[in-house]
Amino acid sequence: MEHGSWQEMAIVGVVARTHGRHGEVVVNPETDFPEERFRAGGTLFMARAGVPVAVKIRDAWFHGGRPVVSFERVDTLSAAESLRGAELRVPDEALQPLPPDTWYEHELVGCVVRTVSGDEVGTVAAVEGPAGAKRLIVGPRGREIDVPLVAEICVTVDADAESIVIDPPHGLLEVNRTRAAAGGRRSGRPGTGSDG
Amino acid sequence: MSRSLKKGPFVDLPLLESIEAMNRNGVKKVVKTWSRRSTVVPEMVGHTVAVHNGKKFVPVYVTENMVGHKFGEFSPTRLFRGHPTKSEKSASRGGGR
Repeated sequence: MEHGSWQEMAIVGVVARTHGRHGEVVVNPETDFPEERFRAGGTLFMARAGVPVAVKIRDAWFHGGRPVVSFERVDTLSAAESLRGAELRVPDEALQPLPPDTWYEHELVGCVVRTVSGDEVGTVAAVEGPAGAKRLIVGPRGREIDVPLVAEICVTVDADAESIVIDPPHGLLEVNRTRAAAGGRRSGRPGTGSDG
Repeated sequence: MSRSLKKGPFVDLPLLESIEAMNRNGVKKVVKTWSRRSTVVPEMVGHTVAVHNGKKFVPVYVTENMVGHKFGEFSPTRLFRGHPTKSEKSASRGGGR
């Protein structure tokens, strides 16, 4: 069965440490769907010499908010020790379907951001922030522009076409531009309130 | 102990005045603030407030769900860059359009 290359797969968790004496491991989840992803009978992939190898989950439960997983053919503590730090991945086609107006973060990375007037702002380098207050980090580090991922600002998001159109409020694109960078003298800290 | 209800939510006055002035004039522009301790109040919904995190301003688009929280909660002061680039983490578009 073809699952694509290891690099093309999406990470769903990283083995943190062993748990117990029968090959169980604690996993740091990297998924929004841990209950569906880490359940008995499920299949995940690990790398063996750079090649994805399917591993079946024998049993799984949650402890302290993290999944505790035992895999088939991993029955001993020493066998589980060798899994420490291992990445658990799934192929793209196994990713959970998402509701409308929701995208996987890696789908947004690389999208070109333009304003409604057609000016190019940059390329999405990362998606940061807590759920409900996500921000697109646009441009290279050090000169990045944070754009809140909300319908009022990101008016069109087309992840397939790698294009995002934004309607930024006045001042959003210049909010972190220093006067020194703009050609003037760098300003000091004006106060604890607002500049408005 | 929680804050007395008699006092109402705390908001730094310059920030509140900026927002109220924009509401009166029907203007929407980004307001910079260092006041992470200010509470989000309903007058701010729909505005974008750039909250300083010690290094830069983090723009926060205020939604109804944020009312009652402090601005500092939405402008993290520490950044963990160890997450993988391609994972099963999703981002949904907030707001109400």
